[in-house]
Amino acid sequence: MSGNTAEVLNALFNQKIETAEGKEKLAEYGGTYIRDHLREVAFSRKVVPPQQVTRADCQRSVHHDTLVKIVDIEPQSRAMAITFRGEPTARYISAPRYEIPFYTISSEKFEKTEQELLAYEMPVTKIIEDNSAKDIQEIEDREFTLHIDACIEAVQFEANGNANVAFNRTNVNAAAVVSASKVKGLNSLTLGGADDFTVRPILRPDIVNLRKMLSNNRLRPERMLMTEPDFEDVLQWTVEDFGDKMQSETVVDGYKYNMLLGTNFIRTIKTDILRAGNVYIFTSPEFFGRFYILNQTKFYIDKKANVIFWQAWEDIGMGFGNIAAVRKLELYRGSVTPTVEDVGFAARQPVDERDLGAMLNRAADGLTFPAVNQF
Amino acid sequence: MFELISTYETIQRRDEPMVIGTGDLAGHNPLNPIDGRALEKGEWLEMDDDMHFRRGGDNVAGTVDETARMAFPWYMERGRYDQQGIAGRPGQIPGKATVLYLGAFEFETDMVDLTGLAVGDPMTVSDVDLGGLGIVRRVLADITAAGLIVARVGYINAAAGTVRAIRIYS
Repeated sequence: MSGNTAEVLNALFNQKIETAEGKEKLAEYGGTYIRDHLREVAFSRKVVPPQQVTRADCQRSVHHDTLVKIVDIEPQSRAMAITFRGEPTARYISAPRYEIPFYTISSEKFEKTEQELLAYEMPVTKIIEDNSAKDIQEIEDREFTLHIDACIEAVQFEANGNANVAFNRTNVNAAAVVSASKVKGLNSLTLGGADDFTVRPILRPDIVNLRKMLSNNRLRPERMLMTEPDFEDVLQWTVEDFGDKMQSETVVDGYKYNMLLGTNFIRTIKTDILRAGNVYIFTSPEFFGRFYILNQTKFYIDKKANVIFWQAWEDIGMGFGNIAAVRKLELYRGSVTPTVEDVGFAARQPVDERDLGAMLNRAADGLTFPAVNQF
Repeated sequence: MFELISTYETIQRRDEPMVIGTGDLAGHNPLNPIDGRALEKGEWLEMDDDMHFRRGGDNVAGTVDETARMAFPWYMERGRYDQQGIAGRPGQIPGKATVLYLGAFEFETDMVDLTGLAVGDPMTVSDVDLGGLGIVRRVLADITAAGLIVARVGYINAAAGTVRAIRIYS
């Protein structure tokens, strides 16, 4: 970055605050720094594509100043065979509906004095601005994952006589728990050992069993969500799984298709949110739920005396009206069922929000190599 | 009722997950607006060891003052949609609690036990059955020897049952 002195960058930071032109120029100075970890767009947006809504689409409350959007669910109906003299039974129509509440997802509020910005040779405000958009989408994904887990557990709870029954290898093998919305991977059901949380490789029949959880309930599997590490295990499938042609192809190029066993799949590197060993399958969004954006991501930057502040946020709502439209494959033996978890279950749950964004590099501890000491 | 007299802009708020506290009965969710033990604006929450918010006390009127943990006023209305929209882990309380976290401020509230209070008195957070309704809430009250001070009385409106106070920690 020979020509991009701190002085130039400082001038650009100030321009950015004051003009749109400066903001564009800053983008030219990216890519000159070491990245810590991959950031990717939201997987939740691929499962349920967001729709823009406006205030006019929403309802307010008489008790407070927040908003919901009310979504209708199709009414129940059926037909019947009757004789020429017969008469059908009646149904007084009452279609259910549900509310999707809106809330804010925000970046941190960043602050820095303009003097200290001089010490940076990378456009730090621009980098944080770009990363903030993806950080916000990480929280979208965390919220989404917790909501779909709630759907899964609600179906399990109901199917097990309104009780939380541990969904672990011991109970599954003993037929002591109903497998309504989740299924264990075949590799996790082998006998012996503890109900632990070691992730076993995914097998082809696991995906078929997962698909059947929807197709057995008059729903069509459309999208599958898994982590990159779980997807890597697909590459271990043998010629008996892939066939000769695919095996040759895969051994050179990896698996390059967007579909697996007739299902579109979404992979994510965010293994701190969607933990390895959890694979979900969804119907199309019209059978499942909605993801609304009330306000697209906004970026605010200001300067008070010599201190620069910036922050990004968005206002969204997501809600799932048909809890039967998502099912889960667990590639580990233990139970993550609420209140009856096995020891170590947290390893398969999204990490706490405050633990997201942890840095992989240890430069702050002096761990860069070769180590160079100053005197 | 809990109304700010000071400007909102200068007060730092904090959003943290809500957990079942010592003052909650088993099976109750204080963030659920239709729960019989739902939080009301003006109740004070304590912070636990994991920096989560919870209702302190023991749900018995007059027994437990806040003596060891920092407490903050829950600055939300019962049933807010934004709070209900935020997820929690299955089996845990969904949503986050927003409190007034840092900074001195002036406020007026009827979530207070006026017994023994005089202008200038320090107040703590205590278990109180306001109005004798059989619902114990964590609200302001005259301080005992052990209680932490969370505010001082500026003005008492005995007829309305309200106090105007300044948030002070000591």
